[in-house]
Amino acid sequence: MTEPSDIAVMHEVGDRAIAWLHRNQDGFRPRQDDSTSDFEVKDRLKPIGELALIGKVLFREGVAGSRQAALTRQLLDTAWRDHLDGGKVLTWMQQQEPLSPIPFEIYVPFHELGYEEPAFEATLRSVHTLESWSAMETPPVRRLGISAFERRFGLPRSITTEAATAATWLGRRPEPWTVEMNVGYAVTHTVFHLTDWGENPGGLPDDLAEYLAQWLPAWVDDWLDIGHWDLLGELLVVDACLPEPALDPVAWRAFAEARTEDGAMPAQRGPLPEGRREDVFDALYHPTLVAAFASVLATSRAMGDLRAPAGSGAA
Amino acid sequence: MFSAEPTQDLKTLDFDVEEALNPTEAEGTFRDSRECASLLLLTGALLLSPPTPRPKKS
Amino acid sequence: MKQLSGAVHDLASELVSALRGGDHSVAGTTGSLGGDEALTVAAVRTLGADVLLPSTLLSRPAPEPDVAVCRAAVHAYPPGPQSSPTVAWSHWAMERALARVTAPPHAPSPADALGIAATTGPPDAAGTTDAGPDVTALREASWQALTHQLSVLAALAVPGADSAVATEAARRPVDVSRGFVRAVRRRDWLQAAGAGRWLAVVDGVPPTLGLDAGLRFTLRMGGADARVALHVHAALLMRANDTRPAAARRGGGA
Repeated sequence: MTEPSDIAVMHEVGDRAIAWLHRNQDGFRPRQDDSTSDFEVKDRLKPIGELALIGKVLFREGVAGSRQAALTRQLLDTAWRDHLDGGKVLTWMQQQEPLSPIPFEIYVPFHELGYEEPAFEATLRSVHTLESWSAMETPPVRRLGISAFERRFGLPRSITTEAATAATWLGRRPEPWTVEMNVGYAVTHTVFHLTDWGENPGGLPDDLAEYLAQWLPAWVDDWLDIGHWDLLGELLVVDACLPEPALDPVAWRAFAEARTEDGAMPAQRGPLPEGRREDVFDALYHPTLVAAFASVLATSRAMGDLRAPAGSGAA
Repeated sequence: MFSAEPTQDLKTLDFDVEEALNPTEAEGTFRDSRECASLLLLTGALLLSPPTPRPKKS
Repeated sequence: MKQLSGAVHDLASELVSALRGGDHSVAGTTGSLGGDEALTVAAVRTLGADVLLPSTLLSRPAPEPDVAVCRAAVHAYPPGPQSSPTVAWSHWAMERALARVTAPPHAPSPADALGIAATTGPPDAAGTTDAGPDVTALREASWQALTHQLSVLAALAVPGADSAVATEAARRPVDVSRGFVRAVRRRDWLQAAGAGRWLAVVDGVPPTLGLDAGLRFTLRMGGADARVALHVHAALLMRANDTRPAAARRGGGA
């Protein structure tokens, strides 16, 4: 059972992170000025996709009617209407690179939130029937992710979840003492895709849940010691997706203490990023998004446990 | 032969032994250095993987 | 300190050699060290019960010279009033090992004798009863601290270990397994080797840990330190000698 003071710590991380993201939402704009190349615009769609995926979770898991929920909704609204020009930027990228799954990955969470762009969908459905779509070479975690988005959007699957999972590092449950940074991120993303970014913890197969319950505490300890707040945050998200989250108070307090004065989360321990506003945003937006993500899921789990202790059978 | 009574000679290493028997934990030396970290963030091991390679725009 | 660590390294190397089937001569492992008597005794005290490990694991009589220098070390370095439980346990283990190797063949084992005494002796100033020094700190330790302390006391990880320390290790195999993972990640090969040795004698180690591979990996990465090699070879030997089916080793609970 998590102490109320610990829940407060978790909750505050998310609160201030969302506020920071809202204040700095202009940083998500893909075309910052006339000098932004097309290449860079496409590259800058990734943060918007991440914002949508996580924002949807924040919106759903956060307390309805709260300030957090309102700010999150505004963030998502601005992202779609303004940054993506009502979806037209996605269509534009789709025209440029028809076989790239990236516009699709970004579109899915927005679509689930109620936004749509019919021209984009028509081309997507057409391209999806190509052999090349499922034959595209991509790392196993990515293939699992694309497959998950296909499921969510209602497209025929290019690969089954089981087959996709079996090809991932986590799916093979290798020696936990070999985990290093690349593997760490592969693990977190595998869990994200299997659980639809925390929306469906039941999507995690039992054997993987058991494996993670055993070894996650050691990995959390590692990246806490190293002071890599970005990966630590993602690991805390994974924890919140487990059948019995640890919600480790030591890890959460250190994580909370790592934040900047204005509520952002630095990527790692060390000198804070400085310089142009856009550069500082680029350095901070991702770990801050992750911090909000971890906070909302963990708080939700902790509160759920308060209302319905494990084994009570209550919803 | 070794005597049963502690002699002055045998006790001179007292401090060393006590310390050797009760070491504090060493600092961790992780293979994930700052260099690895910045490389990773640059090559985009972020929530969405990097886009597939495309030709450089002129 | 450098002198002592050098002597400890040399002694540990001899013990590794003996474990691996080297010539277990009458002169014993300590006899081959030569030189400074005080330094040898200090090195023996530092390695503790492991000086008698070859006879323990290989079921051979312990060479008289080794027994004699162990006795001298036990007498020369008793735990003092300021000594930590860890130091007290190390001393206790040496006494136990000596009792084991010098017991007459068909007498009740020292374990049996101590088992009877365990419930009767009152604790002394250091918390030591007949069952051994205090384990409260271990019992209340986080998995990180537990693993580190256990690794320092890896000499107590022997087949049939029944000390209160061993009981604590046996209660928390998943925690010690996590500690092993952590030690390997920190490249603390001595801690990994000590933790791995404990995992070789307790049940309930998660199969996904890959203990055998982990032990060999630790040996490859850290084996230049003879103490690392000693713990790993002890662990591998004990695992090889454990002929119970895997189901028995999975154990229950904890």
